Amino acid sequence: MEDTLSILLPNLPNDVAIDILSRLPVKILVRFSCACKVWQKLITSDRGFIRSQLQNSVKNLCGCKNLLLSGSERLGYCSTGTCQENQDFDRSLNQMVTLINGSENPAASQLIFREGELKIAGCSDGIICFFKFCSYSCRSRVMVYLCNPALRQYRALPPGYYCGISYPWSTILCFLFDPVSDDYKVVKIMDMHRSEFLVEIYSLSNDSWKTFSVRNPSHSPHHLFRGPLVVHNGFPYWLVWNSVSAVLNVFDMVQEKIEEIPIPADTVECLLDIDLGVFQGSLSIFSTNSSSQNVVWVMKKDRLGISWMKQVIVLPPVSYIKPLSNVTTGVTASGKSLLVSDQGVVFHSDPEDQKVEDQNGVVLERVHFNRYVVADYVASLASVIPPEILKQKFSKDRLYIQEENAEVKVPQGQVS
Amino acid sequence: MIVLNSSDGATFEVEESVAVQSQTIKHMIEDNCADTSIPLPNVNGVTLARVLEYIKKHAEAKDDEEGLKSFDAEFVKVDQASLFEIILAANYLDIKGLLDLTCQTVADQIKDLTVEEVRAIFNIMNDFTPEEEAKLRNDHAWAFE
Repeated sequence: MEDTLSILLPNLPNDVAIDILSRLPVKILVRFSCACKVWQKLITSDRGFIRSQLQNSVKNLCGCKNLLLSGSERLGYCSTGTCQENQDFDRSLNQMVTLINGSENPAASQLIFREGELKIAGCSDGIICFFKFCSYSCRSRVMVYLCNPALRQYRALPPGYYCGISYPWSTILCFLFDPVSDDYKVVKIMDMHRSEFLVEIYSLSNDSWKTFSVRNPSHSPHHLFRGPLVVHNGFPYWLVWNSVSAVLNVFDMVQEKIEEIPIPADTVECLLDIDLGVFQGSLSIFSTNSSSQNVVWVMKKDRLGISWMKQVIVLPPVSYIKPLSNVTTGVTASGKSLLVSDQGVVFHSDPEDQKVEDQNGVVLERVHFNRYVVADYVASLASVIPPEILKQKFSKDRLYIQEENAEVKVPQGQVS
Repeated sequence: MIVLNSSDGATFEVEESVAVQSQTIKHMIEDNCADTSIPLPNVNGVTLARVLEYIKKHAEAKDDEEGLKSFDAEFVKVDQASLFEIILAANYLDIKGLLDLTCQTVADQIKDLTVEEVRAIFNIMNDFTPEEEAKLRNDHAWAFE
């Protein structure tokens, strides 16, 4: 918090006033931001306050309240909050998606928004990143949107340098919070079938893309990446097939290069059947062995390097479990990892007590054909407006964010 | 036994094991500033008595979760001025549990208030012009439903 922060509450010290306010839900705080200018500044743009408010929300969470799902064909969500909270979330998310898609959508819970259009690149601290591939002339481009449904904010990101040449089958896209630079980033990695990849990273603080190329660490020129992506400790990981076997890749955000991590050879009895996920708080590879048991290899990193520890999950009568990719961090806001059985029943696993439990009757359809990406959403005050633009608003006495959003036009020339 | 002196000259005795729930007092004891008695110029007698009631109860009935919960619920049923006094005392004395309880109580109380009521309770001056405020409320109309 700034040292020059004016008195928030005349009869209480600032840190106590902040403690009290940070316990309130987002909707109430947005309402109270109309009380006076100091409160407005605190609620809409003080990073420390926004973080405290989010931490308090997460602390009071029991299980996942809102799960966003995107499969290869559909985007939907499942919400288990109170009736009022559900309605609010439903309405605001719907509005966002409607605005992004440019058309009407009926509202319902367990909602299917749109066939095949919007996908989730990630969800972190209450900000959801959507993207879609559009065909435009004979090129493909990817449109990326940042959205905070709790604040009714959404933005289309400015196009990157290589916006015209992204292909769905060879582009990795993820949204994450980078703890090193305290910034939200969108990472785009494009395989151009050469020995290098093109990387573009969007930073919310700078509101710009940074473009560079990285070396393809694999010996094979064809780098078939097999989704989904898992973001763990602020770095994106994904599995790759080179012609011989599978290997784990990680994009090191600090050194800005792709590294390869070998995986245990005997995990992979059937190459096509392994999945990346998070289990017990660590990055893990899920597979099934010849006796049809669920085997999980948990990655451990220490001074000596990387090692893999084998565990078997036994969960009768469930025969086959794989991780639900949560593109943010692999875990939900409350720290649990999500798993799904071949019947589509969703389980969550708690790293603390090591129990695997049913996620309150959530069942996913056609789980073998849809590669589901799941994001756990918690309402927050985090703004999708870059800090520079936000500051201008205050200095010019323009206090309104909705207005700016309304001017953002979704480019014409949609899916052909 | 530790002796505490309130701002208005009242004296209270409390066991050291109980008193150290206050980090402030704990550090004073460790730094050997607590020879005869500890002066607390920021806390008046009435408030100090209430705070001591809280820490005594939480020391005795430490494992009785249900009992403590109902004690806490009753404890915060006081008028607003007193509640603020207790908050200030808990903050000064650095008693985390009490600060948590009282701050949460205030948060719960103001949650359902209108903006005008919140301004009144906390003596906040509205420094928006009527036009600015109208536009804000309009833009965030969904938050007022």
